[in-house]
Amino acid sequence: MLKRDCEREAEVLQAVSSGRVGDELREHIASCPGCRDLLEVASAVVDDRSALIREARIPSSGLIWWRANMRSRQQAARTAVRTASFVQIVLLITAAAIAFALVGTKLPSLDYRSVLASGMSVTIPLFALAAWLILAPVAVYFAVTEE
Amino acid sequence: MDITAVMPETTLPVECQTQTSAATARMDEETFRAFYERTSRPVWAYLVRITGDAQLADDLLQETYFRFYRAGAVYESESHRRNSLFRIATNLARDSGRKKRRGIDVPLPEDMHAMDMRDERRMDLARALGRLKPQQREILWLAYAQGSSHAEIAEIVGVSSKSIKSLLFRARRKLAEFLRA
Repeated sequence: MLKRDCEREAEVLQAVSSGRVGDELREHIASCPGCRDLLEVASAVVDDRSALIREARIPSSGLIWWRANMRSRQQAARTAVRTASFVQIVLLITAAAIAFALVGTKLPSLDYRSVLASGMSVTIPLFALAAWLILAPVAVYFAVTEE
Repeated sequence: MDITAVMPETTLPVECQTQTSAATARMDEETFRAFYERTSRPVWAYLVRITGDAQLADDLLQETYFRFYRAGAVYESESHRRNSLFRIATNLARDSGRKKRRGIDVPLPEDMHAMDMRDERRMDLARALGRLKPQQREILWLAYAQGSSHAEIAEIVGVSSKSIKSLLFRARRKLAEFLRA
């Protein structure tokens, strides 16, 4: 059964990183299967890492920074548009509900003359409501994009 | 390959997911670029060996740094920051592996005659790593290539630090067997 712990593992790792294995440690490694595995695996991995780091063709830090910024802004803009669209839909539904409620209360006593006479008094609040419906999502959009 | 289209948001570490909107906490350009210069090559090497695909590693590297940047988390130290970066890279590699669902390909060098012993040894290692489980590859690389402590490996890989010792022992033994085979 292979011993799981050997007190000399740290020495073996030290030898791998320095690239020098002393005679005494070499003798121990030859007699310790755990340290033999460790030496074989760690030296292969360390050499491979060094070679990969030399071979690496990575993008410049400036490019990565620029891309990260651009993507971040695009995502923020998409989130803002989604929020604005959602608010717009909610406001439209609310406006429709208010309009139906107003018409509903007027219907039982519908008199065309009085409707025409009161036209002006109804028009002004409706204009105000329409303006609010248009401007509110725009305001929300700018508030969110600034964030 | 557009990695952004296939990578779910869940690959972010938990504490980073809560801070994605914290734009104000983001690193400034100078700090980010210096950190990238220090860490990008080791992260790329890690990604190449745990995915077995250099092209995928290129894509994942960029995605890793984007997620790291966007997280905007504040770290206690350089090692915490580095561990967080490796954790993001690990999670992205795992997600890409789940989508790919195939073994690791080890591309042959263009000029086989020009291969020396060292190249052959590296190819053997790549093949042997490819036969291991993804988590075993991660643990071995972090332990011996990165020199991470057991606690750091546990944090990056997402297992308890108590189990790292036995996981590392088993992975090491298996890799040694494959290398000798």
